[in-house]
Amino acid sequence: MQWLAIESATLVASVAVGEDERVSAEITSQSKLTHSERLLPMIDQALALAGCELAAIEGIMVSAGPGSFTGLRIGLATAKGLAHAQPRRLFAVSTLEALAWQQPEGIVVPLLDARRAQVYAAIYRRTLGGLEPLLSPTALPLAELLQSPLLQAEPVRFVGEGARLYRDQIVASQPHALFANPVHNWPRASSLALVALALGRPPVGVAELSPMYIRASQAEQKLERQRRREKQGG
Amino acid sequence: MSQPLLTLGIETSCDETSAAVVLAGKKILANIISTQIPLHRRFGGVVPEIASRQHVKTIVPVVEAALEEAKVSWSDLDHIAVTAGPGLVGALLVGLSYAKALAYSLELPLIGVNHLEGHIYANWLVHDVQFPILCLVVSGGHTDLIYMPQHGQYEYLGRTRDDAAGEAFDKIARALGLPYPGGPEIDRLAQTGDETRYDFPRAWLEPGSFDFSFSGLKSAVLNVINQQRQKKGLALPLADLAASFQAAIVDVLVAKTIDAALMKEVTSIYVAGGVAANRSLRQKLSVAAQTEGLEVCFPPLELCTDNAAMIAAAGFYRWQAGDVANLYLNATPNLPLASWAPTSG
Repeated sequence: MQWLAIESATLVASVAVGEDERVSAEITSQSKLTHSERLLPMIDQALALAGCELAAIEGIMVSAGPGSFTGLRIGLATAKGLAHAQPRRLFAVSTLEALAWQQPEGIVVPLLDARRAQVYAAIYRRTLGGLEPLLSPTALPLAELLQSPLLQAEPVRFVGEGARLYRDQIVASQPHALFANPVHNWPRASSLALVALALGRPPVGVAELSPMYIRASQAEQKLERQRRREKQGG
Repeated sequence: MSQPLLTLGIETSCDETSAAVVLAGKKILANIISTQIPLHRRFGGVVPEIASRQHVKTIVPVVEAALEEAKVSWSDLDHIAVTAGPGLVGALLVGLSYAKALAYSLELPLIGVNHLEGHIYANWLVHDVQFPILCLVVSGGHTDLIYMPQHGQYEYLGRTRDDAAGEAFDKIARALGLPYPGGPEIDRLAQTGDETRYDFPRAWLEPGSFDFSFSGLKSAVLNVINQQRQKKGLALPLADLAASFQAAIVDVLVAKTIDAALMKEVTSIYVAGGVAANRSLRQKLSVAAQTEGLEVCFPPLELCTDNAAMIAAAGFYRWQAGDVANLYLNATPNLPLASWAPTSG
């Protein structure tokens, strides 16, 4: 299958083109341009570099999150636009899965800054050719994550921009923590494609494809808190 | 008929997801609008994050419904027009990113449209517009008087210095405890109210100015509401307050619009934007225009609120003027309404 992969969940924009396990072109950018400005030009350039016509693309892998809500929507809306009028299969992959896929075997914890004193995190056991989820993607305070029993038995490898940002805090709690090579802290589009292919991820419909937000909007959270307070008060 | 004429329009600037198919910037083959009003009502206004999430959910089914209703397929389309601003940036980005990718995959020209321009061009869908014209754009974000000598040429004569007319409607509606969206509620209540009961201020500003100001009016109405609330046991005279407030806004809109039309010596006035649906504005401006021998045109009610047919119409004329966007097109939340660059062709 000839594929195109789109990653825009964080400040990094990454686009890759390939066929099966072979990556023919990949462009990764972290610049002042916004995702909405650069994503389609990057797709155009990656296709040109790969010597591939868009018409030949059969599958599109897109990062469904967690991550920046706006970044995810730009990536997903772009994927929907590319897949809507042509018979292309769409595959949703978690940014955290893609980060974990870039690591060697062992326990891997991909971390993204979720702001508001939380991280987006998951726990995987990376095996030769596989990825076993031990904790599904979630948002929680880093300290809470570091206390997880899943992380106490064997050395844990931390990866992602959160691993870079919170390195000191992680080492203080987990003296034997391992850290990914810094080059792997940025999510890459090719990882989305490779993990989706390796795990045999089923395709998702163009209308159904939706971001993994994990958190409700702040307005909904506020309303929910109010409701809970009123219930307790009454 | 081999001329490229069929435009797919896409609009997601606020709380409506809309897709339309329009022939030659004139004939609506489909105009599908999925409104989010029920989703936002419990928050008393549009929540940008919720709006953006909903656009992602509805954009594909809404476009499909538009193609189905227009009985056209992807290969029939000639161009794609999308709102690039102004609006909520997260909401705009959904429609824009989708439209860019769709145009790229279908190898069709993409046209970025200004949302306000879309409201103005809603008139082309129903009227035979002859330049020059005067446009009154009244919405939740804008109150502008614009002179248009020809397609895409916008000369600002006046604009609001503080609140937009629609914004004032929404704020007063909220103070009166009316459900969102407040504009139509005030319009409805005012029908049975006495507009002379409260003499609210009309901000005419300095002589000859075509600018507007509604913040003083807003404060005056809020004062009366607070005074009434302090008289315990008395219900607010909602209908009279709504009618008196509405009259203060409409009187200024009507007088300045007529003056501007006379000054620019145009014979046709076109009204655009959500507040163009207001019944009092429609009625009073029509009467005043008739007295002066002027023609005034409003879009039908369904084309006053946000819709993609108006975006397709504006996009068609932009395309005719040679204005096609490139792959770098971005959403601009405060996009100004700028005249189109002169074309060589």
